[in-house]
Amino acid sequence: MKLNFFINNKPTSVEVDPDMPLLWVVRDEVKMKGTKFGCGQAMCGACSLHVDGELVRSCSYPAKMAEGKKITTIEGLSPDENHLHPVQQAWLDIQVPQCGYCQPGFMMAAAKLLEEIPNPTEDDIKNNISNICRCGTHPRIIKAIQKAAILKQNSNPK
Amino acid sequence: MKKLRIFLPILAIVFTIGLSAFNDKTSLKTDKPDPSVLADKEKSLKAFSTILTVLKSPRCINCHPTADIPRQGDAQRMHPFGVSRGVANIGGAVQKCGTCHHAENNVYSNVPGAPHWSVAPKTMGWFGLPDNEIAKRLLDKTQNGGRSPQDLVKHMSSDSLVLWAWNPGEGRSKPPVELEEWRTVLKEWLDNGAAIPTN
Repeated sequence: MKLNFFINNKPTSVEVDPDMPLLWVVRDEVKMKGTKFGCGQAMCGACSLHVDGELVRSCSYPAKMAEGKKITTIEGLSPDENHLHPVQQAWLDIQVPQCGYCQPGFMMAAAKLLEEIPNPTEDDIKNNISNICRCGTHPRIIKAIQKAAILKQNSNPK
Repeated sequence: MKKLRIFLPILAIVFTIGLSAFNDKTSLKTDKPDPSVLADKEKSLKAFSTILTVLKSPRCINCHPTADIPRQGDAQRMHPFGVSRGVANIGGAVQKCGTCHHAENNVYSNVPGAPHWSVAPKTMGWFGLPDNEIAKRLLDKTQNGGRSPQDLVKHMSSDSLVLWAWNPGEGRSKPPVELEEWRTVLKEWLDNGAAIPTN
């Protein structure tokens, strides 16, 4: 089945099984490897990306449902390499990752969190992001999200 | 005068008999309701007892929590990942029900899905309640979204999320009665007066 959508603002067409997980389309058809396969059961969050601005676990999202929609992956989170998203900058500043495998999913969840809760408390972060990091980087993730909140507010002064 | 002396006792007897008959009729009405009405109520209650077995099956009641966290699976464990009803019964501000659940069961991840996947409103929470309380909530228009018994039957027999219970995907049991029987008992319940248990 031919499907059309936008990935990181770029019009994209693929010919795939309509039930194929969007994660596989992004990684294996469009060749964007930033989004990761973790559990394949929508539990760990490694495959998180945005579809029309909503956070989605792409291992459990059939490609056919993305028809005509805007998909944002970790590769498209920032406008370009010279202008990092506040979440990416904070991740660098706090040196969050250990092995790094789950981090793209966390960063996509963090970016969505800051859109909904611009100045999140530690509880806000814990209550709204359930991604799993086997290296145990959660304390640094919390610090990074709170730093990203400040960076974002400073870059968008009211 | 002689005529009156004869007529008055006769009048009194007729009046007494008439009053007695009227009283008998009245007592029949209050103490012994129409047997056909009783039979209808029994039929309706019997149908409702079957309805309750469906409402209390994991496929239905798991997403009708009395608190904020839905249940999962036939074991009815609490939904993990910090899932909660949120302000609109579709999850939190960031992770919504739709982050993982979509319009149909997912054949790859086996995550269940149906249109408008969501948690029932808190006023329609049933988990842990006795049968009569579930029944009372179900019929209470201030708690059931303003639905009449007719509206309830329509919702329970045709809503796509309700009907998902009979197509729950691998590893999840269906409700204890078949879909056709479910629709039949809903109609029986309604046609016979939409009766509910009071204790």
